[in-house]
Amino acid sequence: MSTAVQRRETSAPTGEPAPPPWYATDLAARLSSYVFGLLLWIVLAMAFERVPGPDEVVVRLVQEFQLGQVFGHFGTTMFRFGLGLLVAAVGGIAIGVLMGLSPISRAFFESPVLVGLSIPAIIWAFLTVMWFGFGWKAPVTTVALSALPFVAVNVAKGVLGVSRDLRDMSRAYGVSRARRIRELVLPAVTGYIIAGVRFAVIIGWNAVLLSEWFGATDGVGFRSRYWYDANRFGGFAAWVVLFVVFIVILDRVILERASRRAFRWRDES
Amino acid sequence: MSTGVTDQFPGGALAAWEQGEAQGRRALRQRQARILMFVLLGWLTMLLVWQWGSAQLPGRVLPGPWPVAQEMWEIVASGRFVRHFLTSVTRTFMGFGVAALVGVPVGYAMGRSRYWRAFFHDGVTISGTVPALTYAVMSLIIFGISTIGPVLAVALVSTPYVALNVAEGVRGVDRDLIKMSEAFGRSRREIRRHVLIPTIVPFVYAAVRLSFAVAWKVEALTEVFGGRNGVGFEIRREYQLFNVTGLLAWMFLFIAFMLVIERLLAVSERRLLAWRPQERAGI
Amino acid sequence: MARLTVDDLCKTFPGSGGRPPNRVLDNVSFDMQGQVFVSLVGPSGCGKSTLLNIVSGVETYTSGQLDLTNDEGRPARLGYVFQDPRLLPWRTVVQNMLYVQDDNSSQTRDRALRYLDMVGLANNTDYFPTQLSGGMQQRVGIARAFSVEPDLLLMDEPFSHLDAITARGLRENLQEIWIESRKTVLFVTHDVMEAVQLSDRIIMLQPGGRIFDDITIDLPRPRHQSDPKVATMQAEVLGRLESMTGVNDDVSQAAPTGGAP
Repeated sequence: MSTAVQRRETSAPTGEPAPPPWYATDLAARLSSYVFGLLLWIVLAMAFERVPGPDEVVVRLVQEFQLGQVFGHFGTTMFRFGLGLLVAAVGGIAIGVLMGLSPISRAFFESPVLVGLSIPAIIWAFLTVMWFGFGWKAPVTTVALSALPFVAVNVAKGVLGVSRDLRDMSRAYGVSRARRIRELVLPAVTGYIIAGVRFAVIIGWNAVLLSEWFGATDGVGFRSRYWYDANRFGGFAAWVVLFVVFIVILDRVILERASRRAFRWRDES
Repeated sequence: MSTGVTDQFPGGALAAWEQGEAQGRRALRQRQARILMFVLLGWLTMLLVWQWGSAQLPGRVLPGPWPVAQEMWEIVASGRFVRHFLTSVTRTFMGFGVAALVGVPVGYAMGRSRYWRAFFHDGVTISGTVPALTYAVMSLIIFGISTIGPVLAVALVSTPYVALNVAEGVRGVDRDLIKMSEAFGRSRREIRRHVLIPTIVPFVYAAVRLSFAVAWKVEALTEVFGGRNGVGFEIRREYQLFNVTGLLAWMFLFIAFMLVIERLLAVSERRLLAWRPQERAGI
Repeated sequence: MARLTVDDLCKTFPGSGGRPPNRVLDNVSFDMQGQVFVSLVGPSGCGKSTLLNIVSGVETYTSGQLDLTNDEGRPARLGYVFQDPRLLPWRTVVQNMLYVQDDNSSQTRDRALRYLDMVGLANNTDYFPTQLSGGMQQRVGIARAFSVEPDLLLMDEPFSHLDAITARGLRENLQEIWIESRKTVLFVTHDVMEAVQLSDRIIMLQPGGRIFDDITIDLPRPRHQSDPKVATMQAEVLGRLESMTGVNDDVSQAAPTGGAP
């Protein structure tokens, strides 16, 4: 290879030359993206009169806290969300394990799960409101039914992905079934279960909001709608900030950490 | 290999072989038949549970499969199916167009430079977490009840998919191919045309296929919140009329349509990208 | 120790998706028992690994008979060393050793640690597999196989994924452990040098899965590659392998690591 080519190679982005100046570090890039986002918001608010600006949203946010609306509605919604997720996780893991273990049960559950994946949360929200009326049952069912198939497919993927080589090895050594499940299947699947729960959390959060929007007299979704119907988009945006911040913290901070812990053995060196 | 060896088999062994092969084939066929049976059993169970549920629940709360099927037929026969689905699907693909226009440059920048990767990282990952409801209602607030609302919502949810996929594609571009091209003195433009773009296109396509289900649902959701036509609008109307039969009928049409489009996208992707060995192996 | 009798064993894989069925073993018959180290040698694709999988019970066979018992006439306990280490990545070295044991008693644990010591890993018992080199992982695999006190030890090209120097070290190591334990071993390899150094008997398979030759190696242990008697034997076995070339062109793949003499 000629020297000219080599020189070009080192200037390629993969090379690791001197550290970048302060304004080009990752942190600076991230901070500037937030500043840029804020500016974009201000421009949008000026361009469209219906779009509330950051100042208005902050005022509304403070007001909602002062009125004592935030924690009550959040608590209600969290209860429904949590209960629905629990049902989805338990049912989804059970079906997922069954699907992963035998081709027969996979064939059986394949179509119901596929249909379940395709039904949008809004349909469940409408159906459950028509079935159960206003109250806690409709949101809980909506969350459970929307999230369950996502847990099931992920867990099934995990169980299927348990290395065939390791299963053969266990068989050749005559390792007991209980031990195989405890030491081979469960550790292999844990990461996938967490991935499935992460999906379920994102899907379920949207589902509970939709269900409360259309069929509840309290909760985060209801309160958001209250402001939307009143044509006070500032109040609506304040709640958007609240529920987006909540889900981002739950997903990116808590579940992401759990997922990294579950895969600790992977990159420890 | 086997043909060369066959000639040297003593007659008896050959017969045993062929018997074994026939057995193997039969076992395989039986296994496939059994799997198919259980797939059908899955569908049957779904229908039975539904039928049973509708018998348990009072009145019009949950109509059985048969009235819903009739309603579906009516919707299709009356031409409403084609009209509303065409409207919705057009908006979805317009949204994809916008997503590609914005997502490809963003993804390209993310793939090529560390700075832009860090710049866009948070926005792209966070936007995948934001509830779909937000996109639907925000689009409505910005554009009111119009065609642009759903298009914007689709663009908002699918742009991160496109950007992330393109970024992955750009980063995965074979460094050796680029080095080879440079060694042969190809210009940057030529490298872009012959190496980068052919590598990126499949990733854009994959992004569209992957995000279709999400985009299609958000499109309908936006129509539910504020539309004058489209599938979502029809679903909303049936809900307001408290017509569960109609709601279920539209839902199944919605699902069937979505599965067909996803299938088509997957098949066409394989056709277009036949040179990729892992895609061929997937068939 | 075990007695293994294989009689007219045949194996065909059904061809899926319109592909023709694939025959990998053709009327294989042999018999082995006691303190012997038997190698199965042949080019890739001649069914050696399939035969091993059938013996271990992971794979079924199409026709013929297979009988595997230990000295008391009961089903034999197996140890297996694979081409790749096959360790649970989320368990430490010692946990991996215990995973295949029948009980958790302190004797079992001591035995596991003893074998880890024999392969030179006494100081790495609490490492995760990903923290070890490929050679060290394979050592764990070998220690694991011996530590279950198997009646029959199956080894499937255990050194083929390692670099030449590491492989030589492990081969010496294996020979030492074998001289000490004298287990019944069925060893699969495509490397004639390795087979001659380690085994009492070499069974050659040809493509299509038929036995081509059965050679007894009667040399004192420990054997070394540099020993002229070993070298002469290797040349002879290679010569016999060469004569197989007339049967099928595929044998060119069988060219052992040392190249033709």
